[in-house]
Amino acid sequence: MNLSAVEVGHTLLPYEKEIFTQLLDADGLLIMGKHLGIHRIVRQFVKLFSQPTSIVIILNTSHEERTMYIDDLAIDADTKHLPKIITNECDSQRRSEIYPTGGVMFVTSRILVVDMLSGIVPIEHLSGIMVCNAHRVTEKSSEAFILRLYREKNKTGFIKAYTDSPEGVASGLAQVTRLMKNLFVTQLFIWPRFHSSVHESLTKYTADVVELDVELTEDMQTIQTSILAIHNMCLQEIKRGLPGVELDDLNLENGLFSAFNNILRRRLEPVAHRMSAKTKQLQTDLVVITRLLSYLTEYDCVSFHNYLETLRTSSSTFNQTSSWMFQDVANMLFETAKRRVYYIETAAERAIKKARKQNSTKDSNIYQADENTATQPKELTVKLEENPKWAELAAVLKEIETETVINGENPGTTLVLVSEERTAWQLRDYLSIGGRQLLERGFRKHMALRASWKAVRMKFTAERAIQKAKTVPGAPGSSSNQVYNTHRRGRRRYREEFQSNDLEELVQNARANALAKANVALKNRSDEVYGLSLVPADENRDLPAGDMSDPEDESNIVEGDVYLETFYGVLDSPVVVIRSMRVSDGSWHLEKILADANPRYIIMYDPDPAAIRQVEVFRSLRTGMSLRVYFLWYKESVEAQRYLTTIRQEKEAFEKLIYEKSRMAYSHEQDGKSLNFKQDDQMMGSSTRKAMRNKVQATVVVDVREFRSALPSMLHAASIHVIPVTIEVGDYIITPDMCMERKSLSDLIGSLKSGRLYNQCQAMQRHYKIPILLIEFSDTATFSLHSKNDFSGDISWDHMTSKLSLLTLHFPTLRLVWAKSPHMSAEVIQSLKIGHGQPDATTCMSKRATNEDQMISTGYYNQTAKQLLLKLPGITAINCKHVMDNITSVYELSQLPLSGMQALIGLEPGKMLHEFINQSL
Amino acid sequence: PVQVKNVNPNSITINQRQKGNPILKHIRNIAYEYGDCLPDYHINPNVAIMYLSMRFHLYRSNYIGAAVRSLGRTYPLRVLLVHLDVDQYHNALIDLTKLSTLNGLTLLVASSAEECARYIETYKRYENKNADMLMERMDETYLSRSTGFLTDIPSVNSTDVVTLLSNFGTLKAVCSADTKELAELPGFGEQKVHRIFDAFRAPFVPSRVP
Repeated sequence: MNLSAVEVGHTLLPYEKEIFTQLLDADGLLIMGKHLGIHRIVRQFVKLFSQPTSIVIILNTSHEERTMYIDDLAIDADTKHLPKIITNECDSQRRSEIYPTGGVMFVTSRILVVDMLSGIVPIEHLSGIMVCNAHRVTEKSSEAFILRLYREKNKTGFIKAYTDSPEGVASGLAQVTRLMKNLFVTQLFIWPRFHSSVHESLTKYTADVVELDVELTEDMQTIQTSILAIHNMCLQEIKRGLPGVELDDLNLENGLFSAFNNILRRRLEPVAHRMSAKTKQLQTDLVVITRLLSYLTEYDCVSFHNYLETLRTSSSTFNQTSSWMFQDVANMLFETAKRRVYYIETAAERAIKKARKQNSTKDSNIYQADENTATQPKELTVKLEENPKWAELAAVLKEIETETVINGENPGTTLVLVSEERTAWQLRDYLSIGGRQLLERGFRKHMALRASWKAVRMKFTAERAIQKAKTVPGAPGSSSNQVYNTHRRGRRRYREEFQSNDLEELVQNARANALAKANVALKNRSDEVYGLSLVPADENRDLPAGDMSDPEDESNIVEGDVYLETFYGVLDSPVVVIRSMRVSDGSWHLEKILADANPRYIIMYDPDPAAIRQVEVFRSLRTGMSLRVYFLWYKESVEAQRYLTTIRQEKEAFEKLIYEKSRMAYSHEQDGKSLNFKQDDQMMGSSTRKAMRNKVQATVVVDVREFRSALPSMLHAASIHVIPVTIEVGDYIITPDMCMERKSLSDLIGSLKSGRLYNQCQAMQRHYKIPILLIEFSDTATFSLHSKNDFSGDISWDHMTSKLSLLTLHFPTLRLVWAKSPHMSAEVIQSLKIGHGQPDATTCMSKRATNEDQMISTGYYNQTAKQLLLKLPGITAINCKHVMDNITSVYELSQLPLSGMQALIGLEPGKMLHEFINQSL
Repeated sequence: PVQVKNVNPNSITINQRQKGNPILKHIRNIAYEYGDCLPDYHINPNVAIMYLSMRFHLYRSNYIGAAVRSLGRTYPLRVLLVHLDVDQYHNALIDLTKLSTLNGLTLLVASSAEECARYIETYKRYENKNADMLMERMDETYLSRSTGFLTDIPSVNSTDVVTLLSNFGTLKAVCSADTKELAELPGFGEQKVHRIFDAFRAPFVPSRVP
């Protein structure tokens, strides 16, 4: 029996029913294993509450998640009252109408906070709140604030939280206990894959599993080893530069994940604002190097080589001191990556290399370089090494096809699962035109790119030289770069090689030769000298799907979005569908792919342990047809290691959670239902007796955009009434005279650089007697802008001390507040309010930064798009409104002809803009 | 503006009572002389700095209030430079914040003697500097403007700028790139591709889009 997608969605397996029942009557936190299908549980609840008699709000979902839930329920016949979405695209009038209508509502957290504080949410009537991705909730997040506001007025509604990221919850000490406190829940439900009910359900119907080990090529192994060595080198360098920071447990193993970079960033956060430029660069380098490990197996050899060359170009163009690039091991990396694509050597050199490979004896005579080698002509070998998994994939498809023919069954679908969309395209191309053609096309592009890189470097170097001639020491831009000796030596080496025209000449010659003879078909895979195929270098030509040029490929390739039902029964061979799992998304994406494809065979091209669970769930639901799953592994590679480490980490996380659950102690007040939150609204007045008579509620007017940060929540916790309003001048209006602009450390640095802070200070000073700049550190950051070693040299503009000195010189009426944490900010605000009156929201709203900003800040314009627009030459704060009113997007603006641009913003600005947009290298 | 007798305009005047302050040995980049002035550090007739060691303040908390009062509103810019030379100072810092906010002082917090000295030096060095460096600067070169433009998109870094320009040639072409073309670029994962595409196509006025 084949289940339709809807039925797959709505039938629950036994263990899922168990989970649903457990959570039904509880205020609890559900932690499931990744990709075990938590969205299926959430979906059941959404379905349950989609009726006008309930009012349930769901927080913390992504756009794709929301769309998925609504689309699924739209098809379901039982559900009439569909969920609604409330985001910032909905204005407040509309929102106040939607809330009372009932059913399920997906609301953005920041907006819900503002609406709750403004009183337009019927908090007392809410049936419950559901929090997805609960692992992201911290004490300071909006969700915690929302739940507190909720429980203050509503003691009967439920709170349910869900997450399928046990690692996210288990990483700290007693973190899950704290999380449950912040969520106001008292029950914890832990459901890993190894839970007995889960195991029982999923092993009833199993799939046939075939594991295939694929060997990396020798060059790929060399590259892998080099990258690991470079990674280790950089990591050691960072550790050495930051002796105080705890980095001991950071090593190669957890260095194999993109999560590594997050872990590193978190560890470095306390000192991030004080790190030297060198350490910052190393941190960025590590991100890149970690990615290189994945790219090695994901990209084809030409793309990989291109990427490395782009890295080198950008490093020298932007004068960044990525010191790793100049080490010998990096040279090995670059050279080997190039060799996979092509190499240039004389016949004698080639012979020596061959002999070296075959002989183990180090007979020096053989390796002696001939005097003649220097004069011998250099030859070009275009190797274009194919990814080993490609051939394996083709072999598996062949095997499946043969089997289908032998069995004489109705050919089903073969689903090839890859992790990235890019890989999906790569494989589609491979199966259509073959590896050689694919790589050749890439190689032709590479040739074109070489010219571009050269142009980029030359242009930018020239411009920089002009700039340098203008600057004076001590001014911005001429800050000391830590240049190493190796750096200079390496750059010269690189520049020489990069500028050599050997490759271009040889390619030209090869082309000429080939023209003289005839087209050379390139099926042969041995390392012979090739001319290049004369298929015209038309990179824009669309590859025909299902092109049969490669005799190995006989399957039909279907592009992603075509429905398969139309192909059933028409073809003899199985339909091959290639889909990317987009593992970063939740499990619903994979569920949909499986349901749509309904495959008999699955090839996991990029094995992912979590994804396999969805396959198991799918198999348990689709009991009618058998399923075979092939796994393609690179033997002894980073890929395999990553897989094993993922499994281990998840298992450890669950074990930690189970242990913590057994020892958890919580107060009965934790659910917030019996708590009396506010003893007394904070009273303002000079003495208690006076206060009793003049009972005035302490209030602070807060800009709505500030609700992403923790401070509003802290103020509320201190019994200060927070009024959310859209204000242009300042972020927090504390008293009628005091206006405060809050800057986190990174904001401070950024806005000083961009000039924004200057404008903000001007505006505040114009409208308020006491303008205040709040410099707020996060409570994990070290409470200091500089280490004392920073001051060994002369005064430099790069130092924060310089910038703050100049700022305060020009704004002598600006007051500064330094807070170690948002909590301290709240305390300072409380202390400043004593003895002063309350601010008035309407007065604050009326204060304008400039005349033009009137419409701009009320949410009418897309702020991000506006910011990008303002980066273009010719566009100013004055004319951008006119542009935004008449042009749809930056893209549309870029397509305008010169006349169009001039008509829009004027002759000179239009000319500047047009030149900028159309300038070619 | 306050005038101080016999003062060399190129040096600052330090009040005698500051003698023995450990931060003095770190003042190396400007000239100073001891003299008779109201604040601890007379930078020029417009700028005065009062120094306060947190350790001292915790010991004698009534000192600073009186010192601030006697300084009055004499200088247009009055800086209260607090040296955090102890570990615990939470409530004291909040009090000092209130004191400076309500008395027109600019509060600076320094974590080392070197940093204290640096502030003092910088105020002298920058005393006549205009505000140009604080304001929005228009980058002139194609390099900086195109980089500034492209890196305004979240997750786009300078390597990506090189990739985009070398593959597409002009910014017009970059703005026109579709998701497939972007995804083919090395180093461009799905998130980056979508962020770039969305950044160029996002409507300026969301509500206008049908």
